[in-house]
Amino acid sequence: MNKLRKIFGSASAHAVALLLTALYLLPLLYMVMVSLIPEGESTTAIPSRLAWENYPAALSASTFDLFFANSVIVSVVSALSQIVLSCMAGYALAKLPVKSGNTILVLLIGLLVLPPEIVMVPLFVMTSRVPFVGGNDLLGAGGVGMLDTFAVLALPHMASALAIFLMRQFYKDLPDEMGQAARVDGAGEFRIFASIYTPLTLPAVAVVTVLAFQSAWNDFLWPLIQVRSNDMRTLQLGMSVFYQENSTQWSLLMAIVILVSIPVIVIFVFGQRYFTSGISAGAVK
Amino acid sequence: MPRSTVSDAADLEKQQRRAGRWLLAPAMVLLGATVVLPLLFAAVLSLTKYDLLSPPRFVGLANYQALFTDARFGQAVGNTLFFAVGQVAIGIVVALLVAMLFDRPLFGGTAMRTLIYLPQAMSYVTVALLWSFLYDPYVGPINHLVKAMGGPQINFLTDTSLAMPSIMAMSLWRNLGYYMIILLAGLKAIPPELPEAAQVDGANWFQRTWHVTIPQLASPLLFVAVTWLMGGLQMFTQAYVMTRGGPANATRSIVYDMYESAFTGLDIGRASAIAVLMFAVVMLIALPPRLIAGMRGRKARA
Amino acid sequence: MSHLISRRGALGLGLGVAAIGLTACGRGGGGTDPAPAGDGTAGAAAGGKISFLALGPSQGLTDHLNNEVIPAFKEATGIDVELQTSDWGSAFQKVTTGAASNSLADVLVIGGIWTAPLADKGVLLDITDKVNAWEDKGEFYEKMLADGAYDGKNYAVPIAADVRSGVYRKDILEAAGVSDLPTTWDEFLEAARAVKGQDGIVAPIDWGIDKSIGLQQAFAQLFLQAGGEYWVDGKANFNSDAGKKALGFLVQTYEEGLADPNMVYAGSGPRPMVAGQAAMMYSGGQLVGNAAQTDEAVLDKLAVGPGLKADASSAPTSAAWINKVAIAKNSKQPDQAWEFVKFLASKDQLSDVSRLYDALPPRADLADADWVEGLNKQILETADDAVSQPPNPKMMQIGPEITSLLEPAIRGTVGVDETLEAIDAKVNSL
Repeated sequence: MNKLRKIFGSASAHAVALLLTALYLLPLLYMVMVSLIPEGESTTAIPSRLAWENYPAALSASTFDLFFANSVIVSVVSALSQIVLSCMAGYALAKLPVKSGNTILVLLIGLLVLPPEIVMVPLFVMTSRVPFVGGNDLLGAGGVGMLDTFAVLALPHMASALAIFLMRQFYKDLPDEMGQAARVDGAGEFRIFASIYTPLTLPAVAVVTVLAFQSAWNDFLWPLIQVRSNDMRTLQLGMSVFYQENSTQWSLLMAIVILVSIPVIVIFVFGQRYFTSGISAGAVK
Repeated sequence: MPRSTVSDAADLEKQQRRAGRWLLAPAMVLLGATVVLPLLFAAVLSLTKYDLLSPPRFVGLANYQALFTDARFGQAVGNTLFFAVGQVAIGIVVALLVAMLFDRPLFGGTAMRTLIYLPQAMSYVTVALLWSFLYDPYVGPINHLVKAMGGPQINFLTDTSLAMPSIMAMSLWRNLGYYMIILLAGLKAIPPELPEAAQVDGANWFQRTWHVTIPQLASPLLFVAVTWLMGGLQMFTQAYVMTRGGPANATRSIVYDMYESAFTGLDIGRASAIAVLMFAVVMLIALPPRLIAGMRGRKARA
Repeated sequence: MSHLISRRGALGLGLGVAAIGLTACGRGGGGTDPAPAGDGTAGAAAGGKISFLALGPSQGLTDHLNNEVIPAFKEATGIDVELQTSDWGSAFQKVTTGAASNSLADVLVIGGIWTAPLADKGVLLDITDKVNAWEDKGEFYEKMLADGAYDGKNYAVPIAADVRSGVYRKDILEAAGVSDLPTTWDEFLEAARAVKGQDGIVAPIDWGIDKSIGLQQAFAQLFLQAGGEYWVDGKANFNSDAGKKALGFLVQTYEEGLADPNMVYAGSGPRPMVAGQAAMMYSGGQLVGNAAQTDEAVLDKLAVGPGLKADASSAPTSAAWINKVAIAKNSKQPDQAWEFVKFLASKDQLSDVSRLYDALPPRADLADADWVEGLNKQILETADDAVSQPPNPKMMQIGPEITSLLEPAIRGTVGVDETLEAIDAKVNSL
């Protein structure tokens, strides 16, 4: 009797899981199908052939190669900056005596939940008013300031309270004895940080990398308000503009959506192992 | 050790403090410049009338007063709360059930899990474009299917009562996997003896879940609830790409109203006031649970 | 402690330098330099480089500008032009923030109602003298040239006129037994009632609602046909007889199921009329262009009617939405910019630009351009009756505000009188 129930339970669990999978698989498969529909054919019928030419056509419909390069630059700069800064700050908060370290920690926790959107408007005003940059005078008037530059595109993603917090938690769990042993051997504080502890933080660094890359790659509001010239558009912005201007072409649009998603999906799947453990460690604690 | 350990220790402490300062400073400076300073700046700007073109003019609390009496802003707040709370309320139950489903051995479980998790990697722009297509009344597959079965055309994004739920469903679809994985990790951390013991005591599935699983998951559940809610309060891209806040302001969110105030209405003061209000509300919602968790954690470690 | 402070200072400086380095890299990599500081000394002599912001161009127009217009201008004057584009959705934001940060292009396209708001904010250069001294001035339709003026001064030159009157699906109307195109509101309603229920028709009338201010534009056209005046003694005057008549008519079409509030053009694919889901619309070149792009077979089935009269005794009225080019007040090279405006609006260039904007040329000497035939000729014939919305500095806010107040009205949740009161109150409060 019990066994029967178990089999039945397992079967219904599989059924529900399959249903759920279909809910995710069908839209994604449909997207792929539409991206391969030859020009002029209906989007609600099976295509007569697979129009692979949609992909190069989509890419050349706008300067997506340029947008791609922009997104890569911004995302890589953001990720590198976050890795370096959060390792440094996380280590300091976890392993070194820092003046008012607890206050800083509470502040970081406060920043953790802050929606980045709320600083976009003042940040826009500030970056356009940086003195002596982009034709500005001492008072920050007269020019464009730092608008429309990679530096400002990456700026909101270069440091993150969450990344610092995650790194701090990770360093905290590493034993203090390792550092003490190195100190006895005469190692300086920076060397202990850089070559004793940090090499052990790879899983946490992977998490930070994924988070940073994703936040910069997928950002939309900030590029929308601060990018001025066509050449500085990121992929997300370029895609939105493309949609507004040429939205009759669903096949090309879906091809672009797929191409734009591949890099983050690859990084995501690659970093998933670390990612889930890292994030959930932070959550479960 | 013959040497004076006291001066050594003082020396070491000094060295460590210096290293700590150097390691901490760059991140703090950058966070200060990109988050704290803009926040303070927003507070100042919120007291002015400023159109970016002529110098700001001090107007006191007029921007806040205007917001509190503005029906459209009220609607934006209502929409945002509906979206954020609704998504979390539905999402957390579904995510928990799905996590429990994947907690048991399933054929192809890992593959299915990864698939559900995948949309999380896609940006809101890409997901919004995909769903704009799925929802399309004329060429979209959902309506095609409904019409083929003799149903009426469903205007997902242009019906005032359907637009926000449609965006909510899409956001739920994208975010579910991420939170499900977190809860799944929490489930795996529960010692299997606990539910087993309860089962031996004759508790049914519902009782086991309610009395054993959920209390054990308190911490990840709180994390998921707060994080998801915060994410919902930031809704912008979906409304910008799919509906431009329409129809009849049905999908106008707080951030959308802020964006439009600043860059279409050229009312930086109003936009800043919205930012400040949002900051206050977020702190009120999010900080207490965080601090409680933090304090509990400290006590536990002590 | 002093060494500490200086260290902090050094650190800040280091970060600053890094940021500036990145800035420079951004400039170089992006290949853009919106504020060519060094070029200011070049003066009005030939050569130099200016930027041109085209709003809402189709791919065809973008290609045409890049491959034909800009090289030809370079050949004629030696001046390089960098083309920037923006979709209409974020266009106003781009122009205003550009003006605020001095990164606005030297020459820019502005939309139908933009002259007053932008001139009032001091964004546009006063080009009255330049226009007056221009030998081509007389070729432009006077009303369209006036659309680029505000407060007695010229700020912009028209380049594309989107004239809207009634456009109909002949085939559907004929099938429903309607043989004459409507000339009055009553006839318009009759035709719609006849079409209602025809095969494939979702709603006979498409009022052109979109995610932007299409609804306000439809109302504006009816309001003007009803003889409405936007402003009386500086106050909004929508809550007037004309307003009630116009909104009453609009709402009636929804109440009777002759129009559908869910018929919203998302900016993608064929317009409902091209798809055969509607049969009548206030439109012009936009619809013709959409048909040409998505379903050429429909072109033969379209007919352009006259601008409608509110009743038999009133004047026929169509509406014109005119895209113009203006020069940014902060342009460092206003003379080169003016050269480009003249070039773009010259007889030779303007023909293709207007056509690619799915609109009509605003120059009388292009009325006989070879492509202005058939439907376009029919649209042009209604242009004599065309009026534009009166200029007002708050126009950019008014459009969206009125749209969001009209939305509940067409859904029947708020009454006509109440809506008009709310519109006046809102517009006056801006």
